[in-house]
Amino acid sequence: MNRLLIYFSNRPLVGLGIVLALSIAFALKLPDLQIRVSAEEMLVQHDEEHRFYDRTRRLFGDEQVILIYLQSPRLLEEKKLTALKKVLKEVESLPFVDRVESLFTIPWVKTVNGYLDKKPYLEKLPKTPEEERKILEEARKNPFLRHVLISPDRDIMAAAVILKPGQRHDDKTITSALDAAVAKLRKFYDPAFAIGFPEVRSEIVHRIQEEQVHLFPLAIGALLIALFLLLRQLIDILLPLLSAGFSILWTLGFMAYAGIPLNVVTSIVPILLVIVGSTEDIHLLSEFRQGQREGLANREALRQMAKRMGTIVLLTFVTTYLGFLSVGLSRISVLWQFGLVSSTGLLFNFLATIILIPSVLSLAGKWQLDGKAKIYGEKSRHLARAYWSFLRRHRQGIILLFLGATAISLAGIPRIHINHNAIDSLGDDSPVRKRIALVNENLAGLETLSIVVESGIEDTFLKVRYLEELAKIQAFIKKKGWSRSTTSFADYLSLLNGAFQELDEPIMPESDDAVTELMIFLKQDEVRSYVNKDFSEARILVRHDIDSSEKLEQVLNELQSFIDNHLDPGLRAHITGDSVLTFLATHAMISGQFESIALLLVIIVLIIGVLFTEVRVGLLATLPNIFPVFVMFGFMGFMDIPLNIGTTMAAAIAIGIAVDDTLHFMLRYNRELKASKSHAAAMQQTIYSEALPVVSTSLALVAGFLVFTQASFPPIVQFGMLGALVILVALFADFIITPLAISSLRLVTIWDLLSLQLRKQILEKSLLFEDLHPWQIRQFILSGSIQQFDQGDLVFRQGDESNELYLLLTGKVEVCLPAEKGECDKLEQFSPGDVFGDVALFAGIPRKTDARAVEPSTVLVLNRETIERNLRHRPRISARIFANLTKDLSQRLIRMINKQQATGIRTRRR
Amino acid sequence: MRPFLLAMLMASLAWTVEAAAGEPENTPWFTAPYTGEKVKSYEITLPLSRYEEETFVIPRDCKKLNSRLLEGAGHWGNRVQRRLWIKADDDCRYLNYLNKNPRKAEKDFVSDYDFFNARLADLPLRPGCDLYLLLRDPTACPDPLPGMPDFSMLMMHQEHPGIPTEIPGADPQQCRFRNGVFRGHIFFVDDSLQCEEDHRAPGYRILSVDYADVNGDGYLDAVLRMSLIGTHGRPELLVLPLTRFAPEGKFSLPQGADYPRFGPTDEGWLP
Repeated sequence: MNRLLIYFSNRPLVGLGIVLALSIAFALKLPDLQIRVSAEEMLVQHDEEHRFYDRTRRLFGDEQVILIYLQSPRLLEEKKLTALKKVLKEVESLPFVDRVESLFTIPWVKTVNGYLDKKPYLEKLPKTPEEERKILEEARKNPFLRHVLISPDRDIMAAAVILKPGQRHDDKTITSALDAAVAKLRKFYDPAFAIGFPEVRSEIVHRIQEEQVHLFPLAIGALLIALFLLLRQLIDILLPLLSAGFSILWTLGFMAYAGIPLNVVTSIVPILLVIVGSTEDIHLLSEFRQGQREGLANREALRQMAKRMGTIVLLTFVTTYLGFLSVGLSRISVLWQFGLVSSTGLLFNFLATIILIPSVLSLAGKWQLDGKAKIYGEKSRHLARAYWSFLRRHRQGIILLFLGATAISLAGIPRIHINHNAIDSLGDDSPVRKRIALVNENLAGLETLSIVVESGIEDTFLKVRYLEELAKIQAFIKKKGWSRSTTSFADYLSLLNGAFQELDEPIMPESDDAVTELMIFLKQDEVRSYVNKDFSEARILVRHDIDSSEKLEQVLNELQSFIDNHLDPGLRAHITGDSVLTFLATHAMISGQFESIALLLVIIVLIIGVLFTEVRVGLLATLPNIFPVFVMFGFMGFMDIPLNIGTTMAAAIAIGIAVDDTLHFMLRYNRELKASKSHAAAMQQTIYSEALPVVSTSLALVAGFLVFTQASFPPIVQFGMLGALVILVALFADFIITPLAISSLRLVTIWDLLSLQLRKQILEKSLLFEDLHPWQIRQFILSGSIQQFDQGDLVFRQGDESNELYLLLTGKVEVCLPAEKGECDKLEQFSPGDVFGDVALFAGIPRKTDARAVEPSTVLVLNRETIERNLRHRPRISARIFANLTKDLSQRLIRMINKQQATGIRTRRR
Repeated sequence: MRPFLLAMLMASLAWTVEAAAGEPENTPWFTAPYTGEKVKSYEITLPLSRYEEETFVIPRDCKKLNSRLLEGAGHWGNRVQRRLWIKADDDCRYLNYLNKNPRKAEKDFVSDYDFFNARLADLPLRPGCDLYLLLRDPTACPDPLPGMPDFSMLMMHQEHPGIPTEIPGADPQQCRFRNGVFRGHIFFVDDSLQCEEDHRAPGYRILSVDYADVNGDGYLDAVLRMSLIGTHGRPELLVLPLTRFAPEGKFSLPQGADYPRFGPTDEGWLP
């Protein structure tokens, strides 16, 4: 990474050329970018349930229709019907329309002089109010019309427009054409409108386009303000905008290449890139300007920026990238599209940043002046010191405060409710939503579900016994008040039977023979929406207005339970339909949310754990990031914000972004600790150095997320609100939890303090670490400490308690027996790589000798506690170490014996 | 060009005339399958085997249909298709029934009677059983022939606890079909036939009345096709042949005019 940054700072024109070439390549594809909102894409794709629903649709046809809703005091007045008939004919001739069902087409099943008459209700237009009343009265008895195309008690009727199956239609074309047609009816009917899911989607598309126009400038404005307050340099303000601009262009081009449309979710990516993408730019620019302030020339300042920030920027990009990508774990199409597009956008932004910033700064960076030196003054340093001191003093209180806040947040989580309904995303003020409310109030609603009942045996549903099973389920739904319109093949037969028996109302045939008789007068095509060709499978179509996912879940559960307990054992029933898929998508959304968060946290733990060679450092790093998630969920619970297509993304994305600050904080602390070797000083310096970039980028992010609150889609508004909340809470957590958490750890390891030469020549060649890999040596000495001794300094003294083992790194140390008059009889001299002090330590007795530095020496000290901990946690490494120690001790013993022997021989010779 | 157009016009005209002439005047009305409409002829496609189907125009192809039935084709298809075989065959049999005696009837005491508004007292309420016997002692009456209406379902017997002793102002003459429909109950009070009309009670609808000398006795017979309506009703057609030998009086069943039921037959078919 560092090399890349340096490369582009050395060859700015190459960088700018790459940016230009990529921009041309992606811009050429832009015209292919689609704006599309599809109901399918809000659902779980390619799963068993979806396949079953597709099969059901192929077998029985689509559930959904577009309603032309009409209200008037005299619905069937001749002049009104004349106009309506003309308009419906016009609608039927539209290229995307398969057919229109209305009182002009729905058969009025009756007998005339004993012969069946299936002419439509409005075959002849009524001439008198009496005739009008009669037709309405009869139509209201028909279960296929009542609540579906005619209100049972109000002057409201509807026509159902059924679109051509198997074709992808343009919602805008449909909506415009139907609106134009219905407009001609407004002088006869008020209100008169067309409403269906194409209208819902059209409005969403329209709003997406509008919001891109008004939210985008707001996001740019928020970024500009943040950049101005932070950087106050023209070129520095322009650079994040440039990198955001290029990355948006590339991302949109990528979407066009990949065939991913701009939809309600992916449409927020450009704004997110403006907001989130700028943080790396700010960190790089800050470092560059810092270098300039330190008196470095442009090139050197860029080198320093690359050296200091290269790895950090890469790591923070990786975590944010993973945060966005983790949203793509969802099985819901729009969410994985969002995950893919936003993470790719972020990658593009990262590329734009690492190319543009060094390239442009190397060309134009010198023009800039320092504008924020005051912030890094002595007063700020004092404030950082006081703040850190305050934190340490109130450590316990702060921990309790956070625990309390966590507990309160956890209490709010069970209150969270779920809502995954496209209609809800329109908001209460939407005209489309109001129209749907009218349909829900006066007719059976636009939502549908199907109950497919099958036996696998042909002619099953020509038997009364099984038709009664269908009726039983319908009666249960009616009794529960879940739907005002359930229709099935049993209803059609009842209607026909009622007509033949000349009864006032539909009635179920009494016998199988009666059903067969009725079937003579029925073409399978007439009932193909309700029963298959061999009568082994039937569908109950349920129209409803349940818009809450929780209510739907309850309904589906109860219905399934009823079916399981009451359906004839020879039959199997499966509940499917748009509502069911929406409900399953809700579950997928929730599980996706938890999977995203869990995966992200694991990745954070791993990255930070690897970086600091300690898993618990990684675990501690998640604390300031998991805490905002708890707060967010608690906030959702208490503030009645539902889990929906927008809010489900907030946590993962926000953690991905917020962890950047934690990483910046920890890596800075790491660097400072290496330099100062004092935890307190390092922490103060970290707070002092990171306060400005972390606070300002966080505030810029908060401002950016708050831009989404100006959207008109509630899920996007809530996404913005929660995103801002998480970033803000994470900011506090980063400056409160992170310092307290990492101050208890030794982030800068002894390994880091040892030079490469020392590691290679002394440690790895020491007898103590024989046959151990460098990482094992590192693990073992991580908790050790380094001590420096001047010539003549005592490392330990006779009679001292033996608690430590020493490994000489540099210099020379001799061990001697203290003699009279301050003299010392030298026993042994140690060189770098030798171990000493081990005998008394393992014997558990006070020191028998003195150890003194013969020349300035550096010693690695491993205390008893460290050794014992290693013994417990790293038994394999410890076993090797002890074997080596035994070998070392044996060699020393042999040397001593040899020495004794030599001394004895000399004495005897004398 | 002009002669060609003229030839086409003439051919069309000739075809229309021929088509009109091909539809005999005495062809009864049928109920078309699928639509249930009242038609003189209909088209029906029926399975001949697992993979074969054939379209018949009824009544034109009645002979062909009978041949196919003799070949065993009536067993193919699903439950509904098998019922459609029966329906087509029934319609053909009805036509054959009307036309089996080619001789023109010499005496006609039926065609002037308005059967759609027939007085109940004029009908043999259970075909083959005297009305008075039927009402007083139904067990003494033979069962109705298959495919014929069983009017005893309308009866309220003397021992029935809910039977009214008298309906004030009731005129026995008013116990009648109205526009082909009677729904209600009939009973006797002091040797007098009485009825209670009830539009929600089961009853009968007369669908059509055709005339033919079905038993070849020289007296024209009326053949009523009826269906049971109300609860327990079904769209199955019931056939009731009636005759009488004087301008006034009750109708009776023509002797030897049993109505043939479903199944292949080798009886003579109309060309």
